[in-house]
Amino acid sequence: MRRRFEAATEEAPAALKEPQQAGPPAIVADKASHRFAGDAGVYDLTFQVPRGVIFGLIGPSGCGKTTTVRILTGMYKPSSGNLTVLGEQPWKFTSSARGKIGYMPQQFVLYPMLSVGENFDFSAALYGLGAFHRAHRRHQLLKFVELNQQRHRITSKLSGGMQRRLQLACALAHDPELIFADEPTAGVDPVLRAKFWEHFRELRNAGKTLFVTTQYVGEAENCDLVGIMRGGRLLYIDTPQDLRRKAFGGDLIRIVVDADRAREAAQLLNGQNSVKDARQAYQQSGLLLVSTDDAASTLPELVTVLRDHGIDVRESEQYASPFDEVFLELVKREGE
Amino acid sequence: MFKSITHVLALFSKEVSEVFRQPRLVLSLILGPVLVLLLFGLGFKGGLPNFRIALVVPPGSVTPAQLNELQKAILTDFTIVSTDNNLPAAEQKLRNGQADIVEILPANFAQNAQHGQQSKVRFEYSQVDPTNESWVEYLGSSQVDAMNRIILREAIGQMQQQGHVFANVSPQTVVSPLVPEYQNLRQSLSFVTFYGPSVFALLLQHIAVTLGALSLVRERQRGILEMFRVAPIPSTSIIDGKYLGYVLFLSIIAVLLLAMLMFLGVPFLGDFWQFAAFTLLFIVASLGIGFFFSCIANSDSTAIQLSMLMLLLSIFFGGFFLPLQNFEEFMQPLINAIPLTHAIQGYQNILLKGEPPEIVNWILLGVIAVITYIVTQMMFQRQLNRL
Repeated sequence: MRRRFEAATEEAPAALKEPQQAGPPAIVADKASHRFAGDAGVYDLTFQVPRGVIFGLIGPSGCGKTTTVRILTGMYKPSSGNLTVLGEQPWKFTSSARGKIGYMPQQFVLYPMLSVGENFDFSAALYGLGAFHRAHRRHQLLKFVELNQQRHRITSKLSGGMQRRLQLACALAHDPELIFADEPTAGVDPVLRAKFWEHFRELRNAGKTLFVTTQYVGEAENCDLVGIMRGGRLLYIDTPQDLRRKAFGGDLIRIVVDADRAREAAQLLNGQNSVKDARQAYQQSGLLLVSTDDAASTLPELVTVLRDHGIDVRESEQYASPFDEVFLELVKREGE
Repeated sequence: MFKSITHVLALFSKEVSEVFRQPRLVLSLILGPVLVLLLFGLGFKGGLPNFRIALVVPPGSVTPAQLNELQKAILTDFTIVSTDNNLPAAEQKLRNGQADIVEILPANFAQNAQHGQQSKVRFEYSQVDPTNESWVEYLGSSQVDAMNRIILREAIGQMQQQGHVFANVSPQTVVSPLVPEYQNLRQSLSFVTFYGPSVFALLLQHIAVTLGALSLVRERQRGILEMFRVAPIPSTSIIDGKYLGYVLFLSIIAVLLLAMLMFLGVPFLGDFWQFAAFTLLFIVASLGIGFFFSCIANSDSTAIQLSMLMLLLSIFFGGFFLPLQNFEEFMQPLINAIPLTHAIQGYQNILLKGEPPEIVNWILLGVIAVITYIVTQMMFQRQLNRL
């Protein structure tokens, strides 16, 4: 847990560390709404996506993720509010702006009777790539998604995962600056999902901006910025780490002591100024979860306090709770 | 400009690859129509209906020689299944389906004639088909005319022997002073030859309409319109590419069908380039109707239904087998809106008469092609915008 949390922090892109140097944001939404008949739609979307980051839009099925992507790609015009993508209003995109955007739809929409290479060429030609350029990009991207060996295979004969990878390669054919991937990992096995996120990170590291939607809450870990959506509204936007802090009122520390002294340890920790809340957790006997403003500086201090009182500390670490818990906590808070 | 060409070629090559990647589709689209044409050529004999007659001759009504002459006259248009004086048996044959007509000669028409009275040759039949009924009446009437001439010729022959009237004129000339003489200034054609160009046009139109009708529906169902919507490709290029791909494919089918027509003996008397240009226009007009159907259909089955409806409309109102002049004036707009109407006339002109298609056929096909192209472009653009 600790390793994963630190890895995410280390990989935080320059755009988040020094946003002023990353240039204007790729996406700026200001109270953008799109209403369908009835109460369906998305409402008051306000957020910014800096360039060179992976923005993950997370939420349950039907919460408005695809509608948001469609607004951002210019398929829908917002009913109200302002929206710019790469500096232009999406519903008025020029050809040049469209050429900077890659789109991976939720379903596999390519032609089943064409080969992998032909589908790629077709997608590339939609963006005006000539034959020589296409051939170069085909080789590069099919290798990137590990489909080079299958380039002559008929697409209908590919597995679902291969089809999704082909769809990704097609979305990247014209080397877009901004990539929209609508639930790219839906219905995909965990190994391939991990592969997808690896591809996304590589693209991010190459300077691309990615806007990825997913209903797998745990995938938020892979994003630099996460938007949590529910019922057509964006509830939170932050880095995964800060969302965790928001969910639990700060950093979490995990301490394991003797089970028969756990209650005493919790009372002791709750008496410390640096501790916001300390409580026994029931996943494991003797487990305490401690909420604090800054886990890194507080952890040694708390261990010392416990040991000074003769309580044996068996394990102690900064705790990155699974994002499913974070999501549930945040949604619960919003409900309250 | 370069991008536009790339877009159109991308759609073109996609359509071509997609069609040729499906051998069964190619077989059904190419071999199917060719086989239909071949079967039509080999199996259709045309001509007048040959009705079976049960002839009832009352005793003493005609002499054996007269009966022989009458039977010869009857056999030109009918087949005689029985000749006797048994009316109930003949009517039973009609009821059993062993005969199509019961023909009853009058018992004493010679005496009636001498007394200045006409006698009736009675034709009994059991037909539900109004065309067949008309044929029975027409052929019966011409048969009675022939019988009248036989009787009159005999009578005049007797009169000549007795009274020396028209002594130097043959009874045949007296009875029929006028005889028709026919000369077709064009090459006489068999039914297959005459209908060949119509079948060619019907098959080509049906394939074009069906291909066009399925085209956009499938893309809409597949969801690829989302990709088109996001990509910097104008909707016009998408439609243009599809037209180009299908025109190529349908041109190949047209060449194969033409080869089959030649094999069946249909002449090609006109100019090949006129044929090619006319076929191109006809294909574009038919595809336009197919694409229009594709824009309004929301599923494959609806698109197929609309194609079949177009096929029926074309067969009934395109001049395929019912003469266009038999329709009321208010039907003309519908008739003119069917590409097949103009194609049949145009192909008959080029292939059978060696003449160019009438200018009105060129113009109306062009109008259909242009209107359906514009409507398709507008509707597709609208659908993309409303995705």
